[in-house]
Amino acid sequence: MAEMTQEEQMAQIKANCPFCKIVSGEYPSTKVYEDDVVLAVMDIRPAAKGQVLVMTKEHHPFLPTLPPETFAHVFKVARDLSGAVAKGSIAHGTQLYIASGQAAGQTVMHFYLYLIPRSEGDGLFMDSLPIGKVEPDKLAEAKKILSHNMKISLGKRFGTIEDTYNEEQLFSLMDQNPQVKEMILQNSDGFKEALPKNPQLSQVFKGIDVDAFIEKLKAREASGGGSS
Amino acid sequence: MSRVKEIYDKAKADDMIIYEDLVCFAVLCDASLGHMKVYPQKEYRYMSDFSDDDLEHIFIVASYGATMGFEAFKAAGTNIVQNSLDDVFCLDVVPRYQDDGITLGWDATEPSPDELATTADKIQEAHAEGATLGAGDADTGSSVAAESGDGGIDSTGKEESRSSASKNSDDQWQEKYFRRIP
Repeated sequence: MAEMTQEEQMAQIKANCPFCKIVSGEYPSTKVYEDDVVLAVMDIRPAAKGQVLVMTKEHHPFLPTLPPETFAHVFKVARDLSGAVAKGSIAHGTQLYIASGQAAGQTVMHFYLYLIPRSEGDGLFMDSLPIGKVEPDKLAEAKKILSHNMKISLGKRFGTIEDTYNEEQLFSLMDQNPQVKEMILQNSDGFKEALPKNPQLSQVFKGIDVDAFIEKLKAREASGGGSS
Repeated sequence: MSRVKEIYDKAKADDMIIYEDLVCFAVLCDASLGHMKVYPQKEYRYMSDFSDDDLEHIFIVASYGATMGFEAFKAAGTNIVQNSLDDVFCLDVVPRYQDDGITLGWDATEPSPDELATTADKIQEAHAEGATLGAGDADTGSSVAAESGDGGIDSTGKEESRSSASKNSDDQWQEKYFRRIP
């Protein structure tokens, strides 16, 4: 059986995506708001009465994969609906909640966020996140990694630091992001296909000869030059 | 001193600030590996208080923070949850791992189609009126519920009216609610 192209794979994903079917009208929903980019519907299995799902009309699996203009628009709509959700539900407030990945509770791989009406004594989740779950040495290591990565990534995103990496910086970044490095090493073609669709990675690899970088990364790993 | 300044100063003293710019700052926390709280530099309390630019900015920071959890710590998922601890808007970015023991889910209810439609109408109506949560009035603790004190539909569909006493109660509760999420 011939391998599917990426376009064919996406068509298949969309054909099986329940939220794409809600957007197209194939599945029924109770709409709250709609424009060209997003659709907001009543959640049929809410934590609280009046819970709304805000989803993109286009199929994007996760928050980081949203195009920049869609990203900005989604949160403006969520902001503008937040007061209405509380008022329409006779609640005291609204809580925004996003799950990315099954371990976080994302049940449909199509980006969506919840606007959850909150009221006194509603007993809903997350009123207490655990404290002290990370060992001090791991916390210190996390601080080092996050401080470095966020400063560079967000500095480039917001244009406060030069927005291109040199090769050495990219190697360093790969060492600090083992999941990305592993993907590049084990599935180079998949990485190259995914790259233009991921705004954050596209920013990182802006101006980089990706094929040449992959070859150098592989050679570096083979010679034991990188760290894991 | 503003509350957000107090939070910033404490995080700075504890050396737990992992990112900051003119719009927001992120504080490393320990509910899971890579957990952080992202605060605005301004004294925003509700999402509806945010300007367009600041809103996009703080969610970009949270999104990048979430991506770090995947890329650097091999998290299996991430939750981004709005939190208004201490009267200040905050986004908890919580990397999730298999069997991490964190419970952020809920027992789903199953409202009838009629209930959904009725509430949807109310939300659309409020949206058309431009309802906000204490926009421009974050320090007073005013809320939509307090502002909508001239009646509404409760969870049973019954007409409900709110007296000025209940408005005061709402204001007091508002203080309690937004403080009790750690």
